[in-house]
Formats: sequence, structure tokens, C-alpha cells
Amino acid sequence: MSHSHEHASLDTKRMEAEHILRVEKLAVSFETDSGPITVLDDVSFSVKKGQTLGLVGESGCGKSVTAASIMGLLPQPYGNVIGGDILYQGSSITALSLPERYALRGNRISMIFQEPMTALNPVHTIGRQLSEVYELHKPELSKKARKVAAIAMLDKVGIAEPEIRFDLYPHQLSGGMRQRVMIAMALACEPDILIADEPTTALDVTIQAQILELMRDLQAETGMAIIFITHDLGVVAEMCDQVVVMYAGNVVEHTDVFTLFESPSHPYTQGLMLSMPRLDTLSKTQLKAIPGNVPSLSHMPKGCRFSNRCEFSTEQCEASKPELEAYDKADSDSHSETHLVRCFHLEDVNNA
Amino acid sequence: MPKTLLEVRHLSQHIKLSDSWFSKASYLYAVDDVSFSLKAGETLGLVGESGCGKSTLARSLLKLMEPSAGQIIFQGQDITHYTSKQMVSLRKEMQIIFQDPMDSLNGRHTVGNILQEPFEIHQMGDTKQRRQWAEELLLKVGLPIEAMEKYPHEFSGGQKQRIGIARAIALKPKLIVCDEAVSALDMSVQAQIMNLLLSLQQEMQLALIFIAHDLSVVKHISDRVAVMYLGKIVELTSAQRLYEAPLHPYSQALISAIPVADPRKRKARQVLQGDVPSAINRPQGCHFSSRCPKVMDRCKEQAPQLKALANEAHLIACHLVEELD
Ligand SMILES: Nc1ncnc2c1ncn2[C@@H]1O[C@H](COP(=O)(O)OP(=O)(O)OP(=O)(O)O)[C@@H](O)[C@H]1O
Ligand SMILES: Nc1ncnc2c1ncn2[C@@H]1O[C@H](COP(=O)(O)OP(=O)(O)OP(=O)(O)O)[C@@H](O)[C@H]1O
Ligand code: SF4
Ligand code: SF4
Ligand SMILES: [Mg+2]
Ligand SMILES: [Mg+2]
Repeated sequence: MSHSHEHASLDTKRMEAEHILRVEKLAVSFETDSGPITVLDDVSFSVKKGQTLGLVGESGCGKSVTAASIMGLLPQPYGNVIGGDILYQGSSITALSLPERYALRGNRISMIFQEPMTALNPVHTIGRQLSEVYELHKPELSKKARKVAAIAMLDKVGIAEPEIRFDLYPHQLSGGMRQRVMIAMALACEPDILIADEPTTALDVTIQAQILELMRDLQAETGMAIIFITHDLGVVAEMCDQVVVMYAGNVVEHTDVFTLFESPSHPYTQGLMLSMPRLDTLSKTQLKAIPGNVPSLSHMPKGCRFSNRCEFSTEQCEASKPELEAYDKADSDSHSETHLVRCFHLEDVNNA
Repeated sequence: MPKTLLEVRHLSQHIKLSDSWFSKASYLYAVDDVSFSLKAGETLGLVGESGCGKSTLARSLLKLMEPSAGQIIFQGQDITHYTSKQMVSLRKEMQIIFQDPMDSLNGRHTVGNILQEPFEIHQMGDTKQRRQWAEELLLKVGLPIEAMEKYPHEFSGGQKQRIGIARAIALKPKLIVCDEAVSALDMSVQAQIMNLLLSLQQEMQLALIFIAHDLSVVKHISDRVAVMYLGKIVELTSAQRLYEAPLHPYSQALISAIPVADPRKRKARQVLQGDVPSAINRPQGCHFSSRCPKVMDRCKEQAPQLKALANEAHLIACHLVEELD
């Protein structure tokens, strides 16, 4: 993937075609016992074919809910899209009928779930579950051929003795093996868009490297776009082209991966990068966590959602909401077509 | 000198897979002859390949599984054959944070009930007091008080993990086994939780067994680190030493595969070659021999023993190192 300026000169029409998925001002609300809560508010981003978009941010900020909205899997009846839209190849998918949505999910968009046990059926062997994916996706395969394909896929994701493991139930596998079974199921569909929600957290680094390589190979082969949700900034640096940073149901920064690491510009993004322990951090010392906690969704600050924790917060921040806007940092040799940030005081923040 | 809190001797967990009168039972050596000790206030990191037996070891230590062999000595008492009734009172002293938080959170209970339950079981405080303690715990792990009335499914992955952490620290145990306790958290909340664990450790000599795949996190929190491969400890030394100069070829592969948080330093990470063995059919001799880049003839016949290097608190199981001696 090139990040050069040539891209900027492409005519907008082609750019449009390249964006296989667009999320536009998405808002999602959950009905709870204590009334409705707005879990996502004004979430926008887009992903191109063959590209990997990272989705990072505070635990509980809405990454998995964003993924569920794209998949059409918001918890029913209480989770609803209340604003905005999701476009797949230019057309809205939020208004599709259930069967249409189901077909899309089975074939074009697939997901690796954060909690494997929610996606795996505990009473069926993993072999049966993986074979079912092939049955749906490649009905032309014979039963025997499906089994061969399933075992080959288990082998690809690094499961030892796949023939034996084929007949095991999810509870007989370690956490990381379950995760890999799920990865195998998602990749077996050869989707246009793969949503990977924390796909490698239960894996050691050598297997993680192997899985990431497998995803990249498939991406190169099929042009699949990947939305990669992770907390691991090392993995972001390795895998992603673009990165979206979320905080409390908002996108606060959207940029290319180089800019994210070289000049993160939103105060939350900066705090996040600073709290990472590095191999050269002095062991057993207190880490630089962002002070304070995310307010609960039912008590969000009226203005900027980060204002109760931000050292640059002013009256304006408390009173009104900043928009996600283009930001050109004066002294950076910007690589991005666009660098979007949601903050009133970027000059102060970035010259401090 | 802090006292030894936990001593594990030759602990094994052999899981029977198939058993019928016409076929021989096959066993999976999930944990095989593991020994180590842990002092009060100390953190032992535990790393290794996915499926190498870390969670099984963790569960065995808390006697959530009956060990197949070996001994577990906690605060000077041999608890290996404690009944589950005897274990109830010990739960106050030793706790576990599960890799999958739903393993410990009852989905039908509110978070408030989940957090007050440990105090009820051990008959501590009155209703009002317990509620207050539960609220304090929520604040400690960075969750709002409103969480009290909600159910686990209403929380994100990392929020559930924090409820599990709050429950584990509730009774101020002497030992917490953290099985991937912070891996579902973003860097900032993760830093918060690690800071909390570190200060609990200083305040009350809390000992930790810290299982994680994020090696920078393990290094930050651990005094010593044990590396496991196919059910066995293959190297055990100070965190510093392991990261600076790992000696076992598997440890070396692991350390070299740490992803770098810098997109300009992308490199092809070393992926281990060779057949990935399983705990069911382990290679003869050294279990790592099917993938070891430095394998020698004798490795395929003779299993290396875990031995201390001369004059050092550095244990390693590899024939290469024996040859250096
Ligand atoms: N079923 C539900 N009912 C009510 N609230 C929910 C439900 N699921 C999620 N939430 C709330 O929605 C918010 C967003 O949750 P989400 O799972 O998207 O977070 P996340 O960014 O994926 O976090 P993590 O990194 O911890 O997985 C959280 O504050 C959570 O409490
Ligand atoms: N109940 C069971 N029945 C059969 N095999 C089991 C059972 N529980 C665990 N195993 C096997 O024991 C081995 C060790 O599993 P364990 O969960 O301890 O690994 P782990 O090191 O925690 O891995 P991860 O890092 O992926 O969580 C694996 O091969 C697993 O398949
Ligand atoms: S808008 Fe104000 S409170 Fe929000 S991040 Fe910017 S400076 Fe901080
Ligand atoms: S004993 Fe031999 S095969 Fe095993 S780790 Fe050492 S060199 Fe490699
Ligand atoms: Mg999530
Ligand atoms: Mg485990």
C-alpha cells in the first residue's frame, strides 16, 4: 500500500468506488431500565477495498457496537440505529430486510467476535461448525471436500493436529484455539469485508504474527477490506493503513497510521499513546494512565465528552460539542489525505 | 526476607481424552511436572504459546481442577488434597481472574450482587457496609456507581473484565492468579489496572501470577518470568534477564516476535517453522525439537532437564546450555 500524495489526485468518482464501506454519522441507542442511552453518537469513517482500518479507543467506547451495527447484529429489541447510515458499495444497508441482511453477513461481510464463546456453539464440534460455513458459502463442495477444506483451514490458523481437533467441542480447546477456530470460520467465507474484533488478544506473539500474515496474504489475494479492532498498538502499527480513534461513542481522531504514531493530535489519543508500557519503561513503576474515568453514558458531559478529563478543557469545551474536522498541523510533513480531529483547541494542545 | 507464599512441586495435569475397553486411553499432557515457588509480594509472569497449559496450571493452583500429580503448598500447608469445602475458606486468600470474564460472572445477577457476594460468603459487614465496599471496588477499577444495578451482558468486553478484577480484589487476597486479566483493556485503562495491582502489591504484599501474551505488559509487572512450552517450564529467570538475554530457543523466538509500535519499523516477524506439535503427541526428546532452529541430534532422543545455570537464579531446559557448561 502506498501512502503517497498521488492518491490525493485521483478523481473523486473513483475514490467513491474504492470505498467499499462508509459509516456516516451513525448514532445508536440502547433502551435500558433507566431509559435510553446513546451508545454511538456521530460515528463516521470509511474503508477502501484492500485496506485495513484500525479501530482503537477506550474500553467501552463503542467499538464492538459499531461492528455489531455494520453486521446488523445489534441486540434486539433494545439496540437501534437512531441516526446516520451505513453504505456498502454505495448503497445503504441499514434498511435491508432481515433475509437480505443475513445473506450479506454470510457472504460479503464476516466477523471475528471478541468473545469466541458467544460465536461458537458449545454443543457442536468445531469441525461441524466450520463445515457449515463451507456448506453455506461453497455449496458445490461435497461433504468430504468440505471436511478437507475445513481441516486445511484449521491448519492454516496454526491449530496442531487439525484432524483430531476437528472432532472436539469448544470447551476442550484453549482460549487461543477457540479464537483461531473463529478466525478460520470468518476467513473461510472469503468476505469482501472482514471485521476483526480483538482477533489476536488470546494468542502468543508468534502465532499472532502467523495469523496477521495469513490475513494480509488473503487481503492481497482477494482485495478484502479489514476493520481491525484492537488495543494492541504494536498490532495497529503493523497492520493498519488508516486508524480511527474512538472515545465515549464518538470518533475523536481519524488519520493514517504514520500520523497517528508521529503526531497524534487529540488529547485523548495523546494520553492513550503515553500510557503504553514499553520494553524500556522502568519495571514496576506506576504507568501514565489518563487521570479520571469515562463518565457513564447516562451522564455524558454536555459539551466535549472528554472535557472532564482533559487538561486543556475550557468553558467552551464544557458548553458545546466540537465537530470532527480536518486538521493540518503546521510543522508536520503530513502524509494524510485527511487528518480529522474533534477538538476546539488543537493549536494549544499541539503547541504545548 | 519475604516468606514463601506458594510452592508448587512437580505439578501435573494429564487430561484423559478417550477411554474405552478396546482402545488405549490417550492423555493430553496439559501441565507436566511444573515446579516453582512464589514469595509474598512477588509477581511471577507466565508466558508461552497458546495452548501450552497456562490456564490449566492456573486452574489447578486454585484447585478448580484436581491435579493428576504433584503438590501445592500454600502458606506452609499442603492443599493438594483439600476438599472443596476446605477450599472455600482459602478463597479469601487466593483468587483468580479468568481469561473469559463470563466464567466467573453469573449473568443472572446484577454487578452489585456479584461484588457483594464475597462479603456475604465470608460474613463480613452488614448490608449497608457491603454495598459501600462494592461501590468502592467499582471506583477502583474505573466503573461508574450506576453499574451496580446492571447485568454483565450490558457491559463491553473490557468492562466485564474489570468487574472480574473488582471481585478478585474484594477480599484483599494474598495471591491473585491473573489469567489474561488486562488483555481486553485499552492501554490507558490497562495502565490504571496495572497501577492498582502494583499499589495493592506494595500496600499488602499481594503476590501475583500474571499470565499474558503482551510481553511488554508482563515485563512491566513481573519480578520473574516463566516461559512454558507444551506443558513444561522451559526457562525461568528475572524479567530483566529474560528480555535482555533469553537463552532458550523458544524464548528467543517469542521475544523476537514482539510487535514494534512504530509503523516505520515494520518487519516480517519471525514465525516458527516446522510442525506445530500438540500436547497429545509430543515430540520425543525435547518437545521443542520439531521447530527448534538450533536442534541437534541428541535433542530428538533425550529430553533436557530444567536446570539452574551455575551461580545464577536462571533455570533453563535445553541441551545447548548444558553444552556451554
Ligand atoms: N447489551 C447492552 N446493553 C446495554 N448497554 C450495552 C450493551 N452492550 C454494550 N453496552 C454499552 O455500550 C457501550 C459500548 O460497548 P462496546 O461493547 O461497543 O465497547 P467496546 O469499545 O467494544 O469496548 P471493549 O474495548 O471493552 O470491548 C459500553 O459502555 C457498554 O456498557
Ligand atoms: N477440558 C479439556 N478437555 C480436553 N482438553 C483440554 C481441556 N482443557 C484444556 N485442554 C487442552 O489443554 C491444553 C492447555 O490448555 P490451556 O487452556 O491451559 O492453554 P493456555 O496456555 O491457557 O492457552 P491460551 O493462551 O490459548 O489461553 C490445550 O491443548 C487444550 O486443548
Ligand atoms: S474540545 Fe476541549 S475538552 Fe475536548 S479534547 Fe479538545 S481541549 Fe479537551
Ligand atoms: S534441547 Fe535441542 S531442540 Fe530443545 S530447545 Fe535446546 S537446542 Fe532446541
Ligand atoms: Mg469490544
Ligand atoms: Mg489460557
